[in-house]
Amino acid sequence: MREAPWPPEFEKLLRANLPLLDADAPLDPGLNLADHGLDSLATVGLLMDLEELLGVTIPDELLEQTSFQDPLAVWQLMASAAGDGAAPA
Amino acid sequence: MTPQPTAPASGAADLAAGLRPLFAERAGRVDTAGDFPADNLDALRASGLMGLLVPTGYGGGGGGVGDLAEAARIMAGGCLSTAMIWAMHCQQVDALVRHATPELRDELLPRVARGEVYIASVTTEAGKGGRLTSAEAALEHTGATLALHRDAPVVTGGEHADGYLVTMREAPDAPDSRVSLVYADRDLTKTEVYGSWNALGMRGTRSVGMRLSANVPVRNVVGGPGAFRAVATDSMIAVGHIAWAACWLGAAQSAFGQVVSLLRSPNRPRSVDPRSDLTTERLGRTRMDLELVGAYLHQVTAEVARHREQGLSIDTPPVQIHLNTLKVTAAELTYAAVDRLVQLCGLSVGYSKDSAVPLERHLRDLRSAALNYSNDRLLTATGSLALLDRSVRLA
Repeated sequence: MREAPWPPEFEKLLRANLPLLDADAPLDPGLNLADHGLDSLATVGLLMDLEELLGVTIPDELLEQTSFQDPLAVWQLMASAAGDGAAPA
Repeated sequence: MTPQPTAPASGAADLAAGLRPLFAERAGRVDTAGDFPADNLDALRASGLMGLLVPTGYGGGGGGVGDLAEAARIMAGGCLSTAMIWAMHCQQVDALVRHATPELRDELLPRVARGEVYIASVTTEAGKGGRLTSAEAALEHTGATLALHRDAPVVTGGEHADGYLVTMREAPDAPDSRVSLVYADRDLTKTEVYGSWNALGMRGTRSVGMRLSANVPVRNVVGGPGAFRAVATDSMIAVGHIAWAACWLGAAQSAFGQVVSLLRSPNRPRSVDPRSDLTTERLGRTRMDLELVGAYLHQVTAEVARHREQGLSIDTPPVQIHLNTLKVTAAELTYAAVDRLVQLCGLSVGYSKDSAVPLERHLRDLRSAALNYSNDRLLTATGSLALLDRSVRLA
């Protein structure tokens, strides 16, 4: 299996906000997060958890509906805030 | 300081945004010391914003009430005292632009446009119970000039003003409802400051007591002898309510933005959980209050601008009700918004003078909003006016 582009802590936080995803199911980069239980209110909490975990601040103008459509989009959002597309610290 | 030509009205918001960080940096010191923000006034003079409402023909910015509201809102996000001082100056300028004699306009407005003249309002008087459109001290006609001796318990920025617009009874034998508005240049006025301004909030406005004595030319009567009520209704009250509401909104909006940024940061108080329903309900309520004030401010400002463009009088029950409602609602909701933010943030962030978010200063400042041209009086006036508007023409 291909290695995920994100660290285990990222995946752990994401999974904590996906009550409809089986614990042993893989977190596919294209997984539809809304379909697996990430509602708009949970999105705010997830965003703040991720900012704290990764030590980044996401500018308001980068926050779009599609930012949280799947794990890859969320990870790329974090990476863009860390600068130059590099992975966040 | 070299006064610069006034910038066009279209750039007022940008100029205000440019000054805001400077004002924010000094706001704590202004509040603690209770000092008039003289440095900020110098920056305003140099920016051209002192002449925002002066027509371009006199070298001014040619701005309207919308430009005034927007610039006031932005600057109040930095320092509410400074924004109010500027807004009240603009209120005086508007009265001059619309009602001064041609001679006075020609003489004074170019100087205002160049940032040379900061004008304070002298309308308070002991014993008249805060009624704007009455006066006891009377003008005395002495040939070509009018002698003015006036005692005013509250003159915002009075010590630093370069000129005064003063309400006076038209003549010694006139009733106290016959009020004239008179311009007195500081250079030709004997002034004496008394009392101090050691207030709960708005401490930078230095709203001191003053005694003024001057002999002014007859051409300095603004709006005609005994006609202050028309000037007040057409200009000063409308512009004052709009500008004050904008200032209060700007302060509360700035406080809210700072609290939201704090909650989004790792430095958020541990006692505040941004995911709790209690927190989000309070944030939601506060944001809604600001939205309502913002929308109503926009609506009423546009209504006044439209009347002015079309040459229509705003001395009608519905427009006066809308203006009063704007003032009272902005005063109540912006104070309530900051009060709720204090509750949300708790003692250390919400109540401490050393907090990164100056909520306690905003709370003290905004407490003045209901007192400044008292909400009580406006509510009863609005109720009376409502009886004259059976068709209930809402804004």
